[in-house]
Amino acid sequence: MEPVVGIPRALLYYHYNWLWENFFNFLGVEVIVSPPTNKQILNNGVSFSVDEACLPVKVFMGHCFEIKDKVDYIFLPRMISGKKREYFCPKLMGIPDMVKNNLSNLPSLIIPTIDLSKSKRNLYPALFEIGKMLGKKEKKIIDSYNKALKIWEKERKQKVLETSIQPKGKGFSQDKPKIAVISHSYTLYDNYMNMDLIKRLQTMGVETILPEMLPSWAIEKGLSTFNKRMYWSLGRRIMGSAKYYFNHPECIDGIILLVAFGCGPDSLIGELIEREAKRIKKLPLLLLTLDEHSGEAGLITRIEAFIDLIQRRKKVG
Amino acid sequence: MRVTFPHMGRIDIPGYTFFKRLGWDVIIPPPITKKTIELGSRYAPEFACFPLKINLGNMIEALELGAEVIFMAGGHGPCRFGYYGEVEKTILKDLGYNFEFYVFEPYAGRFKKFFQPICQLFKYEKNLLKIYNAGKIAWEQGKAIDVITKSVYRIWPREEIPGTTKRLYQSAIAKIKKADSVSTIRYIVDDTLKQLGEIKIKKETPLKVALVGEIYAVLEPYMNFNLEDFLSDRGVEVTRTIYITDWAEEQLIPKKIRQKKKIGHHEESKRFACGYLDHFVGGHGIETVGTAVKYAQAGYDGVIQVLPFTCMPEIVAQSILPSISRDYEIPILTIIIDEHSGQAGLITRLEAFIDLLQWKRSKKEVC
Repeated sequence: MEPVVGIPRALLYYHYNWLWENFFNFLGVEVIVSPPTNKQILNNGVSFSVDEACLPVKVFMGHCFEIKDKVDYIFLPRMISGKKREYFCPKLMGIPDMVKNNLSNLPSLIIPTIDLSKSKRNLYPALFEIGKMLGKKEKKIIDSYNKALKIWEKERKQKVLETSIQPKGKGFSQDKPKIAVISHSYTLYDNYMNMDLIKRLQTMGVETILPEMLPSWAIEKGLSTFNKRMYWSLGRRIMGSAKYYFNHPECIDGIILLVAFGCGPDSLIGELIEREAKRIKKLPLLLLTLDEHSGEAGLITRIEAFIDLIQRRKKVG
Repeated sequence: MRVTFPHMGRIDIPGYTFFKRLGWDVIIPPPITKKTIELGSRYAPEFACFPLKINLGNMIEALELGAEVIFMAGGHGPCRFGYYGEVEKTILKDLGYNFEFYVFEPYAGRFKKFFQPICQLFKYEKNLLKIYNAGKIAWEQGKAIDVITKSVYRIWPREEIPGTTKRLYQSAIAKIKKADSVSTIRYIVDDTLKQLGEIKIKKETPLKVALVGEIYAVLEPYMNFNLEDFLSDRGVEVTRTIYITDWAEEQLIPKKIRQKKKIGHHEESKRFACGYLDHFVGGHGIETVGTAVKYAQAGYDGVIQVLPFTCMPEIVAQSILPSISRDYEIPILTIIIDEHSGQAGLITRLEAFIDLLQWKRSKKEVC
C-alpha cells in the first residue's frame, strides 16, 4: 500500500499547487488535497488558532484539521525563503509549529525546511528528507522534482499575458473598465475567503488583471523605483505590480488591493501603496480588507461604488 | 544640526551621550505620553504594530521641537521592523515636515545604502580617538544601566522598607546620566551594587516570574505599563529576559570574536525551544519560546509574555506557549498591548495572575 499524503488547500498551496502535487504523484504517492474552503473549515480554523493570527493562517488550520484523519502524512513545508535575501513572512515560517502545538491526533508530519536564502543547493537536503520519510531513493526524488518543476514553470509561464500591461492590449475589451486586482494568491484564489470577488467583478462587466498575468520584468522594473529593498517574497509581487501601474497609469483604470485582516507585511505595504496612490492622483485605488466576519453586502456595495467611480472617470476622460 | 532618535527603554541616556560627543545638537523626544500615542496612531497604518506608532509619535514630537535629522535602526526582515524607517519617512514627508532621515542597516549587498548613514553620523567629528571614546562611554552607560537594573529587580520584591530600592535605582540612573568618563560610571555601578547589597531583605522567597516577549514591549516601561515595577511592589520577583546591551552585543559583534564559552541568548534559546519551535521566525519569536522553556525548567512560578498587537513572530510564539504551559505545569499569561489598552484592565489581570501563582505555591507546600 502506498502512503497517502495530504496537502492543505491554503496559503502557499495556491502558489505551488502543481509543483507539490506532481512531485508526490511522480514519486508514486497518492495525494489528497483538502476541499475548497467552506464555512465548516473556516470555523474550525478560527477555533484552533490564536485570535491574533491572520485570516489565511486560520483558514490553513481549518484545512489541516479537515484532512488530518484521512491521510497518513500531512505535507507542511517550512517555507523560510525562496531566493537570496528574501523571506516569507514569520507566520509562514512558524506554521508547522503552530499546527503541531494546536491540533491533536495528527498523523506524521512531513516538515522539510525550504531555506534558499543562502544557497539554492539547500533545497536538496529538504527534498531528501521528504524522500527518506516516504522511503524513496534519492535519484527518483530528484527526477520527480525536476519533472514537476518543469510542468509548474510552464504552467506559470502560460499565465503571463504581456498584453495586460499595454494601454490597449489585445484580449481585453476596450469599452469595459480594466481593473488590476492585487493580492496574495492565497486570498485571491480562495473563493470562500474573498466571496468570489473575481467572478463578481466579471459579472459586473469589468476586465480583471490578475497578479500572475504581469511578466516578472515588469515587477522588477516597478520595484527598482522603490527606495527600500523589498525582503518579503510575496510582498515583491504586490509592491512591484502596484509600483509599475503607478509609473504607467495609462495601462489600467483602477486597482483593487485585497488584503486579509491581520496580515503583517500588507499592513505596511498597503499603507505605502495607498499613500502613493493619493500622491500621484492618477489611479483610483480600493483597499478591501477581509476577515472572518466580512459580510457580502458590504463588499458588494463598495465594489459597485468603485466601479461607478471608474466608469464616470472614463466618460469624463 | 539638531538630531533626534526614537525612544526605547533607557536608550535615551547612551544615545544622548553618543551624539553629543560627536558634535551634534541632540533633541531627545519628550517622554512618551498619551499625546505621543495619539499622534502616532492617528497617522500610522491601522494594523501596524504598536512600536511603529510610538516611534512615529516620538518623531513628530521631536520634529515639532525643531529636530532636523532623524537616526534609527533597521533590518532586512523577515519581521516588519525592517520597514519601519521607510513607512515612517513616507508618513512624515506626507505630513509636510522637512528633515533628513538615516537608517542604520546591516550590510546587504548595497554599498552606498550601508555607508551613507555612517558617514552622516561622523559628519562633525573626524578624530577616530574621540569617536572611539564617544562609543565607549555610551556603551558603558548602557551596560551600567542594565547591570544595575538586573540587581534592582532582584532586591526590590524582597525589601523590608518599601521604596528603598526604587529611590536608590532612580538616583543611580540620574548619576549615570551625568557621568562623563568610564571610570566614574564603573565607580557608580560598584557603589550602587554595594548599597543594594546593604538593603534589609525579607527571609521568605518571593514568587518568581519570567518576563518574555517582544523587545520593545519588554524594554519600554510606558508600553508595558511599568509592569516590572508593579509586580516588584507586590513582592513578585521579575526576571527580564532581554537587555538592550546583551542584544546589541549579539547583533553587532561577530560570533568568532565573542567569547567562545559564552553562548548567546539566541543560541541558548534555540536549544531550549527545540521541539516546540524548530526554526527562527524573525523578531524575538524563538527567544520567547526558548526562555519560557528555560525558566519553566528552572522552577519559576510563572511566565508573562508581552507583545504588541499584530506582532508576527510573537503570534507564532503565543500559539506555542500553551503547550509549554501544559507540559511544565507553569501558568503563562499573555498580554497584548495596543493604543487602546488600559492600565486598569491590565492591573486586574496581573493581580489575578499573582493570586493564581500564590495559590499554586501554597498547594505545593501542603502536598
